[in-house]
Amino acid sequence: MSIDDELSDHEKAAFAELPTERLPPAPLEDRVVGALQQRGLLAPRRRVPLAARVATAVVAGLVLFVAGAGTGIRFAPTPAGAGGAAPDPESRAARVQQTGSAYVEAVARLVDTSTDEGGSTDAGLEAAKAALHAATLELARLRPDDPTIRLMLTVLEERAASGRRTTYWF
Amino acid sequence: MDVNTSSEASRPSDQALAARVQNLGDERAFRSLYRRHTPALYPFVLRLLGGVEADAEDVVQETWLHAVGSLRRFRWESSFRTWLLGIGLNQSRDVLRRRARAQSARPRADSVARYAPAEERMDLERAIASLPDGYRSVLLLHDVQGFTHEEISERLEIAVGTSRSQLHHARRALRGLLEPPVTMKETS
Repeated sequence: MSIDDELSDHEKAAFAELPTERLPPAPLEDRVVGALQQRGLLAPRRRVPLAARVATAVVAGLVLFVAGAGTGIRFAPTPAGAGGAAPDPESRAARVQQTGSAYVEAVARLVDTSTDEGGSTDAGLEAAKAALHAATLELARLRPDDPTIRLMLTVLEERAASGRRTTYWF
Repeated sequence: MDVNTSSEASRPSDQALAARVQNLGDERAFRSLYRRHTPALYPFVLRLLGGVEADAEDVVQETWLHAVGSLRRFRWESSFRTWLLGIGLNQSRDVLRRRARAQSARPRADSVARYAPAEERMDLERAIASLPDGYRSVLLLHDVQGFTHEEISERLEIAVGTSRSQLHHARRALRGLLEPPVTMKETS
């Protein structure tokens, strides 16, 4: 009995035609990731719970409220005889409110994306922080003595200086 | 030779992804590695395990757990995929050993009885799946994966001669399974 039998061309072709790639059932990927996380071989998934979403909305809402109030104060009609066309404070406040709503909506969308894709939203997060910082600066210009605004600005600038990526809590 | 021959220059290399997994526990990097290599790992272990999908899924999971846990020790002297398939092979052999132990505890059936009915012509996948474990492993490594007998000898911890002999028997068994059914007309 020879053990040096060779494959025929037909047999070689049959082996070559066997598929070399096949996807396992899709849920297996999450199962493997979960097992790796359980063993500490992968970082635990960053979960953005409902509380964090609410906190984000509260922060953005606070900015919105203060900005709206500040705009109203700044552009309130001056006493009679001041001269010039009086600006329309309601429309300006409305514009700030619309912009603020868009900001809150964008941050909420970012939170959703972060929940789905892990760390893929860093750029968006940095942009959101920068916008928050810029809005707070404007508020500080508007009401430099407001203790809430000063506190917000202090925290934001301290965090920016230390280069830490954290969530801002007020 | 590295398997990273993708024309996509921007695609991170296996080594870069593995470094992120190892140093940062980066889930996204792991998922990229998983999606890149599991489509090759899965059919490899599925065939070794005789087509039992549940076992193959378990082995894929254990292979990745072992691979990620051992990344620090991987020296990148072979491709990541070759290393991963090697781990998959070892994990599959563990499962086959456990199966063999479980079978030996039961009344022994002739291994030939595992072959499918000879009345039907079998397709190649089913025929490979129905081979005895030892035959199947050597045949898959040699004829499907392209390993040499020396490599098989090292991987399976068997003599080179045993590898050759197993391959011979595996091919003969496979041809027997695949040959067209013999009808009465043909024999008369």
